Amino acid sequence: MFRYIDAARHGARLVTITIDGVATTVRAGETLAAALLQSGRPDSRTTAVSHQPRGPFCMMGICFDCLVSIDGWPNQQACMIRVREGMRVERQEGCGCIPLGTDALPGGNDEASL
Amino acid sequence: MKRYDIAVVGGGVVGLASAYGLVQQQLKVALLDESDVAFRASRSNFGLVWFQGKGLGNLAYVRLLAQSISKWPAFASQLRDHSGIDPNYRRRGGLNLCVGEIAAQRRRAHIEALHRQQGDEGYRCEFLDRPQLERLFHPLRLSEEVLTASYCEADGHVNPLYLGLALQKSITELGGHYLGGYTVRDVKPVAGGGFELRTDRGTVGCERVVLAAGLGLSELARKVGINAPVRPERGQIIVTQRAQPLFPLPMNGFRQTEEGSVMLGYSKEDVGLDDSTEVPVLARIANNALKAFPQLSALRVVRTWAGLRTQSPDLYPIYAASSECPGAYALACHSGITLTAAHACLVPQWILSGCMPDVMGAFGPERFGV
Repeated sequence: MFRYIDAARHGARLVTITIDGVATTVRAGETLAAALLQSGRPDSRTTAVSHQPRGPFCMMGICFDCLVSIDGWPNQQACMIRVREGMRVERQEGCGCIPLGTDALPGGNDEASL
Repeated sequence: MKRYDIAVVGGGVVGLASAYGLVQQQLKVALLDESDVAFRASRSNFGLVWFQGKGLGNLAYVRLLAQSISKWPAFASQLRDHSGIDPNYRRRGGLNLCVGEIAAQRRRAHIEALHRQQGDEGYRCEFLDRPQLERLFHPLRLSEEVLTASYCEADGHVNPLYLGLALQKSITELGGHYLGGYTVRDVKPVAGGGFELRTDRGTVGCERVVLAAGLGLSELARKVGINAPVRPERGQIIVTQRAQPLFPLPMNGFRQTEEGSVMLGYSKEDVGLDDSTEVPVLARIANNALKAFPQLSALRVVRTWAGLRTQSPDLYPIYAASSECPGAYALACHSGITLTAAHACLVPQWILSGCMPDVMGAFGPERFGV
């Protein structure tokens, strides 16, 4: 459904992230939502109550439909975060699970946040 | 002019429970609700159905609470049958966490005093020790400062929004009339019996009137000769993103909804009719939450809000029948969610028999003087 226009693809640096455990090569500097859209499976989560699928929609941090888990931390807005080499992305089923193994706050994305 | 056997003024949980009970007595009942400009404590509360720790110095209140709690399971299931809406009433017990030695000592003394007052009546609390609490909350970690918690099996919680919706729908399904936007401006006794209610959408006539208008009660009650002093008390709440089940039980100031949102409370502020939130109060609430459960720092806050409690001068309910205008009644209380099951049963008994049930008898407005 979504693909890069040739001019944008040409000469772009690439990074590898995993989406649900599958290594995926995406353009450096783009948002995670853009990466999800061109991955061939644009849904990013299911809703917490009725479990309906949702995917990136507004692309500007408003609709909260693109929530994913990044490196174990749920409810991250994929449209507001840039891809980063080695980023571990999981589509979110229902409400997210906060990690209880650590008291550490989610980090690592700060420099990549838009 | 529309005419009814009984008009209930107030679409909050006190009025809804009363109308729900009355409509089951083959009466023509109307529920007059204000619009969304109303300060609706019924929609801005923590959703606890709570017994433990309440009513020290007032055994009558303990009895009233105990009666309501004992009616809640059957009430919730009947309400679900009538409306098709599950209010998510869960009664698995509740906890009052004690953070720090002083809090633990105070709680033990408070519960002991209540037990002495109660004798064999009502429900009792027990104290859980640290290992019991750790097992109960695993894998959520308690801070070292959580020393103990009082536990009462009578305590539980409900979704107050579903509760209100289920009551409203049941009233209509059972033949009652829900009149939204009918803000009542005046109540006039009619010569020969009955009342006329002047509203924003015309005049409504009724044989009897039940005033349950929350913070609007004092003014309306005065028109039928009832002194019902109420004042607002603000409470602020933090709501976080949804998460996996974290709390096995609802607590003082901590509750997780069926859908996963965590609610953190609360405050008690005397600021008049102001339902705005303030960062210093919210910061205190957040810090207190982290003092008990440090891992909650991982939860993002998605909204905050404030509600206004309806409080009488001594914080206990007001149940009044007008002697000046027979057929007019006034009700107000804090803890309207906990008391919903009692109100649905007691208010029709009271109004149909003309005789106030004993368990409500201690809450007349005479106690405030004239």
